[in-house]
Amino acid sequence: MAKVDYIYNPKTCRYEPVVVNSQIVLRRLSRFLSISFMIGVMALLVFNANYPSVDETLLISKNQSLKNDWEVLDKKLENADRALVALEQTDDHNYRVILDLEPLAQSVREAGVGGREKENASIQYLIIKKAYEKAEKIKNRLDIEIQSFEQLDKELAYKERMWASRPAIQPISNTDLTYLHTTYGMRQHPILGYWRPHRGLDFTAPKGSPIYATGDGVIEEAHYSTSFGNVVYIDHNFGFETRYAHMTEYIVKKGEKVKRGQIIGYVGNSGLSVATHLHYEILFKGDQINPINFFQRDLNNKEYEKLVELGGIATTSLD
Amino acid sequence: MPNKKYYYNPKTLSFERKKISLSKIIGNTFGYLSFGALFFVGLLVLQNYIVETPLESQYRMENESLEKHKAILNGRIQTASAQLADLNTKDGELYKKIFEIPKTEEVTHADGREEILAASSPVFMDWTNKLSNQFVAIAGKAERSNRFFRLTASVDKSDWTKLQSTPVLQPVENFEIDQLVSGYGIRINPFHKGKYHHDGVDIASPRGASVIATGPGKVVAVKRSDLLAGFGNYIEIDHGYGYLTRYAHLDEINVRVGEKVLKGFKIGSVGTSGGSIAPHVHYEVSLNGVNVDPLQYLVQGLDSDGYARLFIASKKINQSLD
Repeated sequence: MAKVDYIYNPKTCRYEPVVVNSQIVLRRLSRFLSISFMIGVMALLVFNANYPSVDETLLISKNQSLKNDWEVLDKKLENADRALVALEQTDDHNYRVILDLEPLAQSVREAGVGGREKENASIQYLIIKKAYEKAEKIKNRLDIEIQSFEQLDKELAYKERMWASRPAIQPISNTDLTYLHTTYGMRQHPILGYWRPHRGLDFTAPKGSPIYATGDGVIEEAHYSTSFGNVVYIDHNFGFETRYAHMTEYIVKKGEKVKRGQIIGYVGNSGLSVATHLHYEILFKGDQINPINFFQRDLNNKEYEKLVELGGIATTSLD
Repeated sequence: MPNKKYYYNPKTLSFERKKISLSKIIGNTFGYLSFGALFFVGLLVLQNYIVETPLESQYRMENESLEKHKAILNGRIQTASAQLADLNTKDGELYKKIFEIPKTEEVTHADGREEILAASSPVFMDWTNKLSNQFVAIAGKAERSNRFFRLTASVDKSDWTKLQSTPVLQPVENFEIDQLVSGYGIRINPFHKGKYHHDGVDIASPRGASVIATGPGKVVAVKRSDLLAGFGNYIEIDHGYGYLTRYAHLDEINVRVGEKVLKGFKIGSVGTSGGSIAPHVHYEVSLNGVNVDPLQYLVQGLDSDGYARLFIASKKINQSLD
């Protein structure tokens, strides 16, 4: 301040300039600061009386956001649970029924709780505890479901092998087939002349028509015999065996694996036979059964049965 | 300081009392307040730093715990989700292998939805007018015919017995819609994987479950067969009025030929005899000697939603079980 303050001194009856020394400055400053400080303290008291502490506010809002996160986690758990229940149901209701397996008992599905129980016991917060319990249950059920699916996979692989092995097609293509002799059972042998059981079906087809394996299997036998001529035996496992006789030639070796529909040889007239044809037999557990039931044509089961009955009555065959 | 202050006014050449100006008061107040605020903030921070209220420590602990376990749980959930996704894929693969078609979600009823018309368009107005006219006409007709029906509605006694004889039940006890796994029509043969006409419906059921007569009638055929092809063990029931039902691939048969059975009567148990790949009942309905789609007869106890689901399930061109 350029202006100088004066003060009236009654002793000297004069106006004297005010001397500003450091002491006065200090005094003024301390007065200013202490008043400010008092204001600050009062404000703090008022604040404390009316509002929660800063940390509390911060912690509470943090807590809120964390709880929101936990709600999201809980939703995720619920979703996982729902997806798992759906899987368990298809497993029990569809797959286990179809694959002929016992459904898993509820007690099995919920078994195996433990391991982390100790860890859970030390947690005092209910929200965490409950979520862990849920997660734990889901995990255990998941483990069981994974095992179950492995079992289903294995069983299905086994059954698929079984289904693929079952003789299920005609050994001769319909385009080559000229006539199907449905004779099965006793009949007079065309060469030997006496009554002898005919334990197969005869497919008439031009010489050299391909002969197909009717199911997956292993070549058990491929040789020439006086009665069957060039003949192939296929072992289909699961109790089934098929025989293909009177071929001109076979193109498979003993021990070779064949697939359904694979060409194993060609139609001929070798062995004890009066005409070019394929003699086809199916054996189940060592006994011949009527092959008519084991390939699909445009006949339903009812019509098949009629055919089978007629086959039992007919009396001619080609070998 | 009680002493009054003066200043020297060079214009008047005299000492004049110094006045307390408004701006100075405001300035001072502002100074006090701003420093007060500074102190307040400083004190607050200090207090916050030093003082820990019980509530704070409680929340602090809880938050720490929540934070820590959140990470752990999240990890576990992620593992579980990955495993679930894996299982879902496997589920799809299994389904594909068993039924030879991909697993799809059920079709919703959104297919037949009409094109949406703008409410202001003349077409829409015409349409609503036509509809309201139709409604009035139908309402009038309904009133008339109601009166008519009240007077004449009755079912002939022979029709009534025919209705009662119609095989309308599902052939297994406690039937559930997801048990129908393959319907009537062209399906895939499970053995040679070729297409063929499937003359009935396949109802998958655990081995040994009860097979029941779908309507009252007389047992006309009981056949047993060990052959792993064809119907296996099966029963035929004649319900009269041209209706015949067939229950194939059974395990046990509990009825004899000629026996009369009531609707819902246990006639045998589910098996997988004959040419079958899984325990199920192959159920056929024939009317006057001709096989018909059994779906239209599997109605008892189903509401329209249930029947719609059954319908969708039966129309899937999938692999049959026999």
